[in-house]
Amino acid sequence: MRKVKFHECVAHEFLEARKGLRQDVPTRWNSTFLMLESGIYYRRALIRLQLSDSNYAKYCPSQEEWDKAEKIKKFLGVFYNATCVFSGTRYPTANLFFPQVFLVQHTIKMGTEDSDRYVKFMAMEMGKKFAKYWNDYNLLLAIACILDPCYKIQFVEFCYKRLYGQDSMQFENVKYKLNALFNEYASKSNDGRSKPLEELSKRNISHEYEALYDQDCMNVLKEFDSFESEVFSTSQKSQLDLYLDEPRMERNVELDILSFWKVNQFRYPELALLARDLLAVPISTVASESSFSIGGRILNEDRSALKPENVEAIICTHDWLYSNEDDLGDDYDVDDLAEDVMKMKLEHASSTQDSNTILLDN
Amino acid sequence: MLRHMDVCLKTSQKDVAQILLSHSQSSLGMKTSKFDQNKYRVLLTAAVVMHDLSFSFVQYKGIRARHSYLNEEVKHVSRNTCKSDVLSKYKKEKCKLKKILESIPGRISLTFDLWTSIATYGYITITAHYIDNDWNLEKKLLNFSYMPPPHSGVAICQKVYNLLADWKIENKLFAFTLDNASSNDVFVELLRSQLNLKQSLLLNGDLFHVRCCAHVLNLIVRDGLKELDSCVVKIRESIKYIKGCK
Repeated sequence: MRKVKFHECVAHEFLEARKGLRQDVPTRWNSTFLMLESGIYYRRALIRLQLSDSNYAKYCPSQEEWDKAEKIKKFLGVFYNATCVFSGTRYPTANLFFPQVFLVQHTIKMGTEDSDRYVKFMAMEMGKKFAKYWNDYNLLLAIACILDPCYKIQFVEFCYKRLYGQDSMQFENVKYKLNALFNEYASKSNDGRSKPLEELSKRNISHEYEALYDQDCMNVLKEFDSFESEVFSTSQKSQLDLYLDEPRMERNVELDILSFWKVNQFRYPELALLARDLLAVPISTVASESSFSIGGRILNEDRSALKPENVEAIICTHDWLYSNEDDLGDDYDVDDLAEDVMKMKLEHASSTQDSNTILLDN
Repeated sequence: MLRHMDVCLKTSQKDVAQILLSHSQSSLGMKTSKFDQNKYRVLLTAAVVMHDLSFSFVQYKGIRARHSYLNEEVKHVSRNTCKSDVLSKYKKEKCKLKKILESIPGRISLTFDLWTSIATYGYITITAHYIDNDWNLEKKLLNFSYMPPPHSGVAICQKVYNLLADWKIENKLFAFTLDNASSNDVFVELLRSQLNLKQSLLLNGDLFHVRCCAHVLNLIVRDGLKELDSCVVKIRESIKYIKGCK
């Protein structure tokens, strides 16, 4: 009966009935966010229902409360998006960390200056935890962001400036680590490659021209050689500098960062080596956690006595041969991914009850 | 990956169809291909692994009856045979993966987690992440390994190091991502110093340890939502009210 009435209100307000209202599981904040989102979507319908159903009136939020809920929803949305982005396992995530965490920190900072007492309180609490873990961000992941041609060092500089002011220690440290890391790669690849070519060209020159010049001319030319090599070595730019000098790409363009480096690996061979390793770094443990869901399926109540080595054989072989099949077919969207993360973290705290959606069209 | 898909498709559909076909053909006297007992076992192993079936699946009366109907020549296998088939398939695939890991151009990053099954056994998983020669991001589950207590940092480090040495990748690691359990901090620190002895990490492992960002984010938000504002509670009640009457 209530449902029918609500359905009528939804139709009156020309809202999409299919979206559905979502009940949350209080221990999982992402479901609370989704609940707020769905509730706010039906705001006008709920207000209409309040007018026609006197029993409901005591539950319906007031105008101010609705506005506040909007604010909280917007605030949590930043965190929700970041969680979804971090949870991907099919695309590189290392380069995405920095921009997302910057947005999170920015949101918290804005929140602490908010006029609303509750938002302010929420932001303060979050700020404390943020400071505990991410005050210095993560150097590795800041460097990964620099190797994203859509962000580059300008973005890192911009963020650090917003947070710590001009020429901060923190930013200097990032630059220092970036150079140190790049040099490790550059020195490794130099060991093997460039020498043979140099020696070859030297030998040719000395053979052909030596006899033609007298001693004076030779000396002058030698001087020129050393002069040139001096200039060369001081002004020669590393691949890192060349890359950083290149203009940044449009941030809004959908860029596949792996294709970018695949194409540019011959222009920046040494830097590409660093990019290859850096972009493979996963920023969440979702990949390891998802294998536990297979583990749970295999070690169910009937088979809990299965020998550990057999368990490993089945689960690993399954992963190597058929993991792609698991993902295909069912549309595994970001909501599910985020849901997975939440389940893993809070499994001890929450019941098995899942957030359920009421579909309004019957 | 595509190769695997091919194999899968074959195992699930084509080959069954072929066996069916060859059976009906042979009964028509057009002997083209014979029933192959080995192929049958390979398919059975694949099915068990693919669908997480129990080993005793191969002894189910109904399954055996069905297979016998498809071809009367079939020799049924016992669950022990099935088990050893799965194990040898695992070993074969493990060798393949080892070779791949050896040949990839870059370094490997790992994720790790600890899990307790319903029988309260501890298991650890290690997953490898790398970018292959053709710039594809790959992830492979390396171990799903029984971990007897204690689950201290020292014990985990020992275990993980041995597993990595078995894969022969302990010298080409880049970063290690874990969640915030305190034993994990001890464990990564130990592993880092162990690997530093061999100088196998970049910048002395300065950038080796990565904390699971989803986990940190979760902690941050949970602190913020310790108390819910009345407007959130009211929306929750509203939804309950409408949902409550079905």
